[in-house]
Amino acid sequence: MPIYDQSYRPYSGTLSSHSMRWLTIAKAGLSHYLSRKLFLVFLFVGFIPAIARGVIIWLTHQAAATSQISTIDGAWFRNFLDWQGQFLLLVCIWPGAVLIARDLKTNAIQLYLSKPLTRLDYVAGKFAVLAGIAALLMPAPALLLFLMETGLSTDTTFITSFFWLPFAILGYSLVVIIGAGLLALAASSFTRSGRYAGLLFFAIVFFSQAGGQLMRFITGDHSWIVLSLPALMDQTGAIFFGGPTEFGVHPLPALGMYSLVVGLSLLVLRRRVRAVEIVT
Amino acid sequence: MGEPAAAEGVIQVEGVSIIYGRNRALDNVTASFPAGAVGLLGPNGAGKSSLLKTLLGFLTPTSGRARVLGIDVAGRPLDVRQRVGYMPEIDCHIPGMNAVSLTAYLGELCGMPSIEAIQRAHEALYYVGLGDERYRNVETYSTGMKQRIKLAQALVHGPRILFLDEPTNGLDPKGRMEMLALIRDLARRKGVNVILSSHLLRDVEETCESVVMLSHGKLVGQGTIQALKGASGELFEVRLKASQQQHDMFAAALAARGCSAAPAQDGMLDVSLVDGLGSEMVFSAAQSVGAQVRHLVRKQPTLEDVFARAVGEK
Repeated sequence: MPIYDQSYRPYSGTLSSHSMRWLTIAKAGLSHYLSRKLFLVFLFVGFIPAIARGVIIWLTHQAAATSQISTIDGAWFRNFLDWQGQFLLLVCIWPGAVLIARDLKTNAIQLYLSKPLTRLDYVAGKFAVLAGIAALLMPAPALLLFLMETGLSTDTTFITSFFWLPFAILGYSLVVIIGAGLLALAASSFTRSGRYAGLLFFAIVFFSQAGGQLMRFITGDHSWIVLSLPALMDQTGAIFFGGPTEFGVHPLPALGMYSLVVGLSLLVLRRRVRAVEIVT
Repeated sequence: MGEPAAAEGVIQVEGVSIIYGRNRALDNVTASFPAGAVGLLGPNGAGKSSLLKTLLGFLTPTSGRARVLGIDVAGRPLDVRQRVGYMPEIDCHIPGMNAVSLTAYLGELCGMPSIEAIQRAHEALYYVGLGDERYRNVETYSTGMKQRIKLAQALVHGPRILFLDEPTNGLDPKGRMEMLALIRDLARRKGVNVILSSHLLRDVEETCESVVMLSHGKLVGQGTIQALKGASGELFEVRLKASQQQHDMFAAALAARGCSAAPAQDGMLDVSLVDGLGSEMVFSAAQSVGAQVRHLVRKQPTLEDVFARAVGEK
């Protein structure tokens, strides 16, 4: 029978388990952005550093004259991820900060939550959109570069010395993406305007950096730098890859600050992502 | 989980209170919604939307509990929402989607496989009358079309119960008639239980068999419309030849016998008599105040009369 003659009938088909419903939100969000030309251009720009580094790896394995261009080691990969961190910040501003603000603007959250979804499912789905895009820009190209270097090496020196690199890449990316992603979603849940949410996220990052530096300058106490979110990223890199920290943040205060950022973001999301707005 | 017996009702609300700060949105409401189409009646701010949101698990009652199809809402809200379709009062959509992708997406969120969700989305959109417009971006829809897409998304997963919150808001007369026809069809021919929340009594009267009436967060009446109309005694449309003072005395004379006289249009009075009293009571009251009865017609009580009586309006 043609669809237009079907009329309404009860549904008697199968239903998937509830535990993976967040994945539907993630898939829809990712396919929405991946179908937009502007976003694909942004992704391509985000891949340019990886392409450049791929060329460097290739050159170091060619003639002896080019083999000294760069030393491929843990610091080299950390430097690459630090660079890609700039793109992560951009992703947090757009589309990250838009993800929930847009739903608030069109009251879509009530539609989502009237379905068999929890608020956690909703936030997890939105986070997965952001994390999926961030993964394309940070750990995915870094792992490809690692595989490229391993594949082009004529001996096992690199792989035996840096077998831990994939874990460091994944661990560092995970920590940074979770922190920045949740902060972006929290900013997104504060307003119905994606632009204001993006500005809010940028302001938090900028003023955390400025505030940390200012407090350090006023008090003369270096430990205030822990307020700076970029300094937190730097310390995270030092934990996973070893080597010096640019800002000299100690791991324990950094862990405390990171937990605070994640905790506050989750608290904001818990309060703001609701099917009903309660005004007392 | 077995289905509740028909006599038990599809929804039970037991002593539910919702308190926001100092505002009591629902005050110890106990009600039972039978199968079929049930109107949730009340003026704006009566607590209708709060009750629907409580039944969906959006609001946690300060006290009391609610069961939908025998499922405790507070304990298993996802199981309730799997069986319920909700058409919100407010304008809402997911930006950047056309009607098919939006309806199918929301079907998938209910657990339907992707292909079946798309198939169901087409069916639901044809059913609500958006077949030809289903590939248009929802953001470009008119108010009437937005109401229809809200109904389609509520239906896509084949719910057992539909919660419709002011479904005719913003519709022109033709759109309103079509929406009410859809609601009637769903309740009477498609076997979907409908809870229709509305402040428009005509809408409820045209679609529902039963009503639950709220006022200021309290339950003020429930039952079948037929029974409630029957229980409201006799109603007469009366015109008196009398001064204003005599009108007041006439009303007082009726009130002394438990009856009431409320001003209606064109100088008429709506006189409501308690059971057991007939039209002679009107003549007797008029005679006692020296007024003449110039017009007396028995009136068929409307739902509006029933509701006014329930909330104690004059």
